[in-house]
Amino acid sequence: MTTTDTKAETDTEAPGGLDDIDAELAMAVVASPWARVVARARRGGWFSVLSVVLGLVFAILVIYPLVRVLIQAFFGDGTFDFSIASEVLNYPGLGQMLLNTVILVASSMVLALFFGALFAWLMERTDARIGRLAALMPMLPMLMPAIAGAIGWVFLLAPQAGFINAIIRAVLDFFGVHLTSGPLDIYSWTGLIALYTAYQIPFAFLMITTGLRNSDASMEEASRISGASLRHTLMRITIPVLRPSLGAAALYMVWFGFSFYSVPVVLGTQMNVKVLPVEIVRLLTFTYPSNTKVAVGLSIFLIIAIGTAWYFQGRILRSNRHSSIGGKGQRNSITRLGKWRRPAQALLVLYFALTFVFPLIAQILVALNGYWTTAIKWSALDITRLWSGITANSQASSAFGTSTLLALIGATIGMTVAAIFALYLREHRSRISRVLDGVIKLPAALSAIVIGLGFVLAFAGPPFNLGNTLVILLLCYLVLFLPQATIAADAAAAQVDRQLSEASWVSGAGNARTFARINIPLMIPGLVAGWGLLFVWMTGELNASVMLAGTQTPVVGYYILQTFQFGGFATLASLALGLTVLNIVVLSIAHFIEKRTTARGI
Amino acid sequence: MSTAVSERTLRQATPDKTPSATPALVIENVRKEFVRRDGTKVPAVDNISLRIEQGEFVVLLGPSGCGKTTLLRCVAGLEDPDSGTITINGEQHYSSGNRVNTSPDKRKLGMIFQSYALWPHMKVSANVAYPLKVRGVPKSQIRDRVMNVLELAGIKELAEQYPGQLSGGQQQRVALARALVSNNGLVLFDEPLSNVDAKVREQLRFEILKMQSEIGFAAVYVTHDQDEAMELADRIAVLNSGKISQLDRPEAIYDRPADRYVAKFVGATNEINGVVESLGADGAVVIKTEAGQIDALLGEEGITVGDTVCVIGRPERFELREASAAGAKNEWPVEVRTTMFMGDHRGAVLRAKGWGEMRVHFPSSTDVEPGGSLAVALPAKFARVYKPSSR
Ligand SMILES: Nc1ncnc2c1ncn2[C@@H]1O[C@H](COP(=O)(O)OP(=O)(O)OP(=O)(O)O)[C@@H](O)[C@H]1O
Ligand SMILES: [Mg+2]
Repeated sequence: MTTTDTKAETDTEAPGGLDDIDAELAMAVVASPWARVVARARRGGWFSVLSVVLGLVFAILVIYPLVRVLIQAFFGDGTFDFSIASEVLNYPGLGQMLLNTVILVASSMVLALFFGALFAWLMERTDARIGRLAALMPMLPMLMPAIAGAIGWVFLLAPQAGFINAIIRAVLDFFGVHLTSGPLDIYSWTGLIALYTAYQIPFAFLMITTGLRNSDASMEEASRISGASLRHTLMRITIPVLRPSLGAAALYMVWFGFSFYSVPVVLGTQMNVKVLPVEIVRLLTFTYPSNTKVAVGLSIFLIIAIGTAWYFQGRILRSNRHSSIGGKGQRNSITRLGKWRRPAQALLVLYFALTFVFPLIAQILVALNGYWTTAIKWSALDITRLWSGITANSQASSAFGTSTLLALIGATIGMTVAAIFALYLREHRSRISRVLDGVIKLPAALSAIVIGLGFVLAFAGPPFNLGNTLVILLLCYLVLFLPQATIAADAAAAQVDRQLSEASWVSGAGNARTFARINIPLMIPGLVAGWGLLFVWMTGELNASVMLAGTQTPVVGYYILQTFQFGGFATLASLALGLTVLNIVVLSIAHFIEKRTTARGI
Repeated sequence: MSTAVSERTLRQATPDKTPSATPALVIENVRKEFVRRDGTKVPAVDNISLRIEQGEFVVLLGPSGCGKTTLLRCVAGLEDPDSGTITINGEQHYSSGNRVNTSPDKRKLGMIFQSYALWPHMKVSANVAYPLKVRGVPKSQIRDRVMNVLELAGIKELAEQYPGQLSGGQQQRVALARALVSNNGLVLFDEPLSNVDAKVREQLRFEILKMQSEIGFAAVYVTHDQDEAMELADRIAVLNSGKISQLDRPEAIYDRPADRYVAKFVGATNEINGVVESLGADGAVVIKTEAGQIDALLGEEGITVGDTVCVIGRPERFELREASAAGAKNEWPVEVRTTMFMGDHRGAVLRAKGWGEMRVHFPSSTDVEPGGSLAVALPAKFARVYKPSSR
């Protein structure tokens, strides 16, 4: 609605016509925007005060660590000096490391764009569409976190003990070719790039699907009718139209790729291929004494890469403002693929199998067997081992429990705060509340590595001494995922007509009661969906967890990494499996509740 | 039309609205300015003062964008005025001078929104019970009061339904019941009937008046439909870009509009421009126009000899007669263009020298042939003179 939009603007500006109010009031109400905010908040009762305070607290939680990172980077030892710069620039292997990172990000980006666009086109515009899979595709990285997937693929394709390698060797054996290892190797550049690509594809798929839905299919129809071939139509019409979404997806992948941690830490360490995020974490966490200075210095590269990506992202969006064409996005032009339909569908299913089913089977096999071997004793498989890797290992079970607890608390607090703030923002669009909103959403534009680093610098040591506590983890998770939470809550709030809360207000209910009795019930479907995502992100969080978790506060991501380094594969498989199952269960429940509450006619 | 009659009787039955004790609502010099995105300032409410007695029904009438909703929202506390005072039932709720500005939940009034704003997750009964519940009315009373008001609104049998299962008219009744249930003495209506079709609208207007006579609340009712305003109002306030152009009983608004804007906004008009030739006693004037001299009555102050003015006559005030050879005063020979049968009256489009095309209403029992030669006359007391543009 444009009216709410214009309203946004009006409340910000000091109202005119002040000359006829007494000057004192004008001073108090308008001169300082703070006084205005406070006056407003007081009128709205304690609930508004609470909203503003929450906004402020989280804004500080975002800003303070970032400031600490910058201070550390430029004034390392109290004075402004370039010693950090020289130390970082002379860091052994810096060039190689940056090159590795760029190669991985760039190559996987190109591949992921290709496959993402192909899949999106197949699903949106052709008869190869598989409905269920189309809905599932963007969710894949959430169903099975990358760390679990990467370990699954190690189980499958490790040169000696990888299951797929063993099967290939057995087949070759039959034909008289004898190999003792390989032939495939996940610990290779091909393996690295393949896994990077696999985890980038869902983003490309999602954005290009959206692009396709927003562009008018009739242009393609027109091209086909005028006699152009399928390939010609694709090259001349479809791809140019999609350029904005392709661009947005590419830059999003830069953001994602530069802070992608799980796959390179699992594979790269073994291969001795260093990449930026892994090295930053290693210097801070797995080096003794930790080399904070260089870690911070390196993180500046991360910030620069991501900043550049956002800059271009903004430019692409601006320059293409008018190019999203058409409107309704009905699925009206279904290209018939003929004899290509089955192969295309097979390709879609194959992707799903490779990223989800195969690693899952590998995890199940290793867990069932109790240890990782290609010589599986099928008769001795024990179903209880599926979870005994977690239950019989006190550290594993406490890691699992801690993560679940943290995610339960974190997702609940996060969604509640986001809902409160989203509603406050809707009612009171002052300049300050908008700044707060921007600050709270800032972490989405930064790397979790940088945020985690900032939290270590800001809160681990004195005066807060939160290192090795659950509190620092919880706060960091909240800061990391509040942007997504507020986006979900904003969307949920937008579904609820403002007049519904105004009617409650006029009926005599205060802000808090209106929130509890009217807004929350009406926002529930959106909030539950957001809660599910938050939960999954928090249990699977790795980047910041690795830096912030310790032996007293083990979380799953951190413990999986440790176990991987020391080789407790059955536990590892159990943990990866447990995480996957937990995510699927939570997301299904959230989806179910969302469906049910929506169906109630809200 | 039968409803109109019974409404009038009903209105007489309502308690007397003499400016007694505490008025239901006093608005003094309220001002609210919006700043558009491009920086232009919109004085949506421009120094409005208004006093509404207990049990009085006041309609805010004006074209789209004249500030009706804004004024209503200022009263409800949903919008912060820039200055002025707002006093509800003797209690000051907003005052820029005293720095009072209470929140809507403290203002104790009922409000009906254009979009109904029923809470979809609550049954009808829960929707209506809500204002009682949040104000801490004992549970034992709530059910009775809810049932009473639902019965009054004629939707008792819908108590267990969800709003999503109701028709537009039924939803509006629920909104009505919810606004009336706590009986605060003041109810605000923001174009409550603009979303329902004509037949239901007429029925609901009637029922609003019926409920008002039974419960006895004061109402501020926003609309841009003049028929609605005429039927409902004890007094009408005609708004023009944030200011009240005229505040008076419906008859007065219609018969003696304060300026050309009001005359043209309320009811149909025929207009002719001219120059004031002479001023007489009691506002009688003679205007020189292309249609000859017109005897008329001053509609507003500040008009003197020599001013350019316009003469306004309502279609039904013109009298249709056989053209008299002599050509009497305020009488013009006309050529009939078309006639339309409108049920209770006939409308004709006529052509007269100086007037151009004019619309005239006459009883549907008489008829005229297109092309016939007739005359129309406008009695001087119905020919009112205004400045060409009031503002
Ligand atoms: N939040 C706002 N921000 C900026 N301008 C506004 C805002 N709300 C209202 N206005 C402006 O104030 C003026 C009065 O608006 P208001 O909604 O009170 O009109 P209205 O008389 O209720 O009109 P309608 O009959 O169309 O409902 C309009 O010019 C409108 O554009
Ligand atoms: Mg309005």
